[in-house]
Amino acid sequence: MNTLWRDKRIFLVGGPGGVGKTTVAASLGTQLAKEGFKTVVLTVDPAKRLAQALGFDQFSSELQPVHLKGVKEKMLYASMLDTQRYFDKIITRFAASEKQRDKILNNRLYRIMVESLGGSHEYAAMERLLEFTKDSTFDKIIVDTPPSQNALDLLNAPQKLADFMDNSVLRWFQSSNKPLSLFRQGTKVAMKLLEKLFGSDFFKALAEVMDDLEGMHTGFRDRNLEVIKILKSATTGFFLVTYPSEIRFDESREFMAVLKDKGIPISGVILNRLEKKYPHPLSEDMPISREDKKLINDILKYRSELVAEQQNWVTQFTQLFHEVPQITIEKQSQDIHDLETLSQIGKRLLSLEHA
Amino acid sequence: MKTSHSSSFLDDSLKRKVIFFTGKGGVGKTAMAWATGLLLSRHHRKVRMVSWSPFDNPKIAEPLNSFKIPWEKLEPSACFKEYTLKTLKFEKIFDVVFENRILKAFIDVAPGLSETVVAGKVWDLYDRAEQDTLIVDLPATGHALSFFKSPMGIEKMFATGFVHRQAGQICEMFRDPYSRLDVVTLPEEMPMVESEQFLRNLSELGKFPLGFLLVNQCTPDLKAPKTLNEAIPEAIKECLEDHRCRQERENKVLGDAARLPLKLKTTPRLPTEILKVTIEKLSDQLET
Repeated sequence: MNTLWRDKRIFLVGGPGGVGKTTVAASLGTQLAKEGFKTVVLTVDPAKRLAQALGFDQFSSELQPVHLKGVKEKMLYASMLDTQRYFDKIITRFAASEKQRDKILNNRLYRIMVESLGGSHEYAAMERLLEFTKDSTFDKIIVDTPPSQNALDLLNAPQKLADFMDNSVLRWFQSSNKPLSLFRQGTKVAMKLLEKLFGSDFFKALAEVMDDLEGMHTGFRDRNLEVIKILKSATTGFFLVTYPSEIRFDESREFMAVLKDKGIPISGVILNRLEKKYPHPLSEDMPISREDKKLINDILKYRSELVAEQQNWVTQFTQLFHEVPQITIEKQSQDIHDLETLSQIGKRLLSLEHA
Repeated sequence: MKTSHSSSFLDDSLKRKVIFFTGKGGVGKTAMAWATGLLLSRHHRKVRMVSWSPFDNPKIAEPLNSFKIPWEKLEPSACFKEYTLKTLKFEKIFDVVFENRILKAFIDVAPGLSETVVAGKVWDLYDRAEQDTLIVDLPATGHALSFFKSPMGIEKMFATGFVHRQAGQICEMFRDPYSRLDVVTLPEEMPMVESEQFLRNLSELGKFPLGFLLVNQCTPDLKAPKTLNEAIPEAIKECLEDHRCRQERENKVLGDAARLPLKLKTTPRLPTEILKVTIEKLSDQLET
């Protein structure tokens, strides 16, 4: 095994939705486990078929062992991210008292907020990652990140949440009876206005959650710093999974720029679902009817056009990421339904080397 | 301009005042919305398109400019400002109080607020009816659900406030029989599962004028001869077999999709290099 995979412990698999991130993460996990590393794959967006390929009906948020043929010990575990559960856990940890905790967990708006708050899935993923890094059970931790069009969503989520939890923002909403400063007088006008816009019930409920969250900001800020430290660590690798097309190319370029800006290097680019190249057209002297020849050549022509289209973008990707190791994965003609296929893809991934 | 043959997709689309598009991320929602707009505009409809998408690729606007279709991006805080000013008429106070990070934090976090103000903006365009057809490109299904849910929730949950009144109007727009909601998907497991989940969640909210399940990027219906001559090279046989497997797999997914409460419309995966051509080709396909 080359050093890229041996030396790193945390593998973040990122990229836009629909490019096969989860499959890549599962393949990597399968192969690393087969090579003797105790591995956990944390997934967010699991296909039922992929769960079946790993040997269970459905993903659950508990750690699920995967049975690998020829491997005696349980080396591979999978776990699905449950955002709501993670937020409840975070609140429980940071709450100063049981009373504060219960008040928040029972607020009807809190649940909706976890669902709708931009970046809450990303935050929960990072939180779960932190938990795993502190636990020495696993040699390798693979995080299949939530699909984000933009690397910023993922990387800024902890920061955004920490900003939001900033006490000055929370205080703005508080219904304290302290003498009003000039700032608070301005905010009083704004509050009245919001009340007028949203109705008093809605606004009161919101102000309550904000009030309850007071004092939690330090916890959120500290976690945020820890996450950043891990992301920048030499034992963490960030892998971009993408697909050779115009839109994905633009996204990937932006992705890379953002990571560079944050000082996080990309360890590898995985171009997924590449069309296989076949000969085209049939040779003229093939002893078959003209009709059959046309039927076959139509398919061959269509397939070669798909290859040509992708090849153009593969070239562009190669140029864009010339300093980053790249690998291509062929499109599977069947849905992935067994560990063997995952292992095959995993083997190919492990051939990626350090830049 | 094309006026000849028509399709049920076209006929139906010509009747609508507003068409919403959603689907799993990366299935080609925006391209499909644009292609529908282009199709209607080729049939002499005055089209207006709005896009509410978290992904900001200026390239997406280029084809539209070249088709000369008016387009605008929906951005929650801009919609919020426009809406508040229109309703409350207090520009000075707005600037002093709201142009700060606290409002931004508030918009980020207030449940359903972004969705409601964006829906309010869409309602406004729909109500003014300066176009024949309004095409609304919504974000991926999770967010799109809150787009439909939030105004309805606000209408039900809160009895007072301007937003409550506005929410009522938005809900009427959703229930208008001349509105339509299309779901864009791929002939693959995950996008289909997500589409189904979305429709299930949506049906819990009430009745919506559901339109088409647009299955994008289907393998074209090309069939190899039933028996293959032995002289054909192995590599070519493999290609034909791979192609057949792909069709079989897709047909299974499409068969499962038939139980969804939407009319099925498939568009083939056509090799193209640039977005503008993709949209033009897609538009041709929607016409057939």
